[in-house]
Amino acid sequence: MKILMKGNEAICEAAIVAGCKAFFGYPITPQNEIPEYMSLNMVKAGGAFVQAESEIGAINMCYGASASGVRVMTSSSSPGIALKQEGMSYLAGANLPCVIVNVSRSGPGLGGILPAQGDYFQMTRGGGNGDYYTPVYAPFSVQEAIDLIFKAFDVADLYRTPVQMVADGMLGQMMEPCVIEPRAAINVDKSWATDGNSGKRPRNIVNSLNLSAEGLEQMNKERFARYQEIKKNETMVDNRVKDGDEIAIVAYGAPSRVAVNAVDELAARGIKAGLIRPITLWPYPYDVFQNLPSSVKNILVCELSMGQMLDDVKIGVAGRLPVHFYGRCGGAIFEPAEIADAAEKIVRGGA
Amino acid sequence: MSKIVYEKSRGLSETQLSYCPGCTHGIIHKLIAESLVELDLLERTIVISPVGCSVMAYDFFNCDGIQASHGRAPAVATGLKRTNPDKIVFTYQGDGDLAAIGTAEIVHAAHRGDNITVIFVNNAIYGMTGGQMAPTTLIDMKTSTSPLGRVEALTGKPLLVSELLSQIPSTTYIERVASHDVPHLNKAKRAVKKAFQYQAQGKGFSMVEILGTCPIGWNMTPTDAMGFVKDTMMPYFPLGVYKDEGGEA
Amino acid sequence: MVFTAKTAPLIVEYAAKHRLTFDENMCKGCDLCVWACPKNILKLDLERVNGKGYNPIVCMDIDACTACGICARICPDSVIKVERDIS
Repeated sequence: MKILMKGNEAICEAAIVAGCKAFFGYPITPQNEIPEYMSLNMVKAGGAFVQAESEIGAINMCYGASASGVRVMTSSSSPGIALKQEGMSYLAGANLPCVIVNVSRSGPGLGGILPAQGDYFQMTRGGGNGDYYTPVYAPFSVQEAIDLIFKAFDVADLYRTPVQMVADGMLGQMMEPCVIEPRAAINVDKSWATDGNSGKRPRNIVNSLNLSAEGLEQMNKERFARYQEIKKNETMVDNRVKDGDEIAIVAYGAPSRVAVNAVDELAARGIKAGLIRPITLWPYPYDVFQNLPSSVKNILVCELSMGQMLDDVKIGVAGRLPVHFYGRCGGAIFEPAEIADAAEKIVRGGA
Repeated sequence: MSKIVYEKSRGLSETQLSYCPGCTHGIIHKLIAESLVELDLLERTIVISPVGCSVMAYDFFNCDGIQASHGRAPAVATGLKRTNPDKIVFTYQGDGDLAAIGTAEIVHAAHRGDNITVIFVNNAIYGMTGGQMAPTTLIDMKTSTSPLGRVEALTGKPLLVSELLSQIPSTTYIERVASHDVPHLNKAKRAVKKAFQYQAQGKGFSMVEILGTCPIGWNMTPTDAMGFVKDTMMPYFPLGVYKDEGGEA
Repeated sequence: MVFTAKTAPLIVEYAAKHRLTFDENMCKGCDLCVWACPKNILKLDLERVNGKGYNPIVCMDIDACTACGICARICPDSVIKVERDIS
């Protein structure tokens, strides 16, 4: 059944349907609908809700709940996600699943509350201390956010890793028709959980400490072997580039909807453009840039930042094509015509 | 015919404690292990270890364990307890962990009245990192970051954690005990046991502050350190029940 | 560095009316039992080191032991087992 729902609330409802049993959060704009929705509906669903004393408190509550084997989620916005990095590093180090939703805003510092994509580095490069990554999902519609929440919980459990999802004020506040229905449950062994051994098994320990150099190196190598599996199995991209396209426009998240309109506008101007929309920001779909049609002569990266995903596109393109950038930041959002103008200038020369 | 007066508690694991010779952490671990066994709670208990000397406490108790980041053990305990209300959850924290970097987490776990037990070991110093000044370091006490002694004008007076937490309306049981001789250990064990009993009965937040030693950090023999607890720490950190709203345990 | 007792248990027993059993390799030679014993019958053996390199405790006069258990209770490393004769 289709229902009309706000992005932030749809994320919550999907999490509850996906079996999330606990939510710990802290107020920060523009994600406040998430803790508000959870304060009522998580409790109605028989789960735990705590409005924590801080984002640090919230992520550490997630750490405790996850250690006992339950599905758990937290959410925040950019500066709050920065505060959560300590806990996310611990979750990664202790191999604990958790879903973290970032309804991002503009920065740095307190910045502003309008949409921006300046958290790309923070989300895709570990973010906290030590050798780790977290899978990052970047939906562009309310329905895709719902689908990816189900996926995020599964991936977190399967690979024992924290998983992030990034939305922004646009997606969070946007209402769209959507479907939230239970999915087939995956079967995951959680015999590692510290939920009291009842005298029936050896004691379990959840821990990221290892004072032996060889021991810690081994733990990290084991984690990176799992990352290889994630790269192989979980990389997602929406590649709309067709034979004959002259330019590929790369954009992600809600701002990629502007790029979709820019592609249409470019067609009206007689320029064939195709969109590449990474759905996972880590692992990044580098391969898509190795198999572009030979008609593509230029790449244009469009972000609501000063250029962060740009680095990943350059890694993927590996010098084979010129990579251009058009971005806005501080909460300013590009219009389709701005992107089309930038692309037209590149294709017609003079860029 | 003989009767065992004392033997190692089965609440402790086989792992050798990592503490320095004569450190009271080991003694306090025994009180906890014995209490959990005597109350028949061990098998549904999860210990949350801090950052500091007792970082590896998860290895020393014969129950499940979680290692928390510095100061956050009470938040970890909240997350665990809210999703596992029938389990016994306790944090084991030192004064750097609880009274400095973790003040927000301890205050708000207390503020929410979370049904957990906090064992707070106050030895007036950062032991693990090499004997730096803690919020609980006594005035004029020399540490590696107060080499001339703690100066009140610059660093204030030592933080009184039991007094502080007992002012928080939602706390149930707060007591300060000491670990420097057997009579005080007996009292300390009664307090630890009561805290766990209250938790098992769903009575809410309990904390037992235990005055302990740091012979290495204090630059004393273990026996002199026991005397320091009695003669110097206890006058500033008065022992006693600061709050008990649990009724019959 | 993992803190496990790498040395094999070395169990030393003293028995008269009552019985003291020391898990000697767990001893860190901290002296607390010696200091706490009301009968002054324990001391560190300065002639020997245990598997960890500490001077272990020894009992000098087991006949004087009253099996009060104070040494065992104060020991941070659970080295001492105390058995009281009740026959």
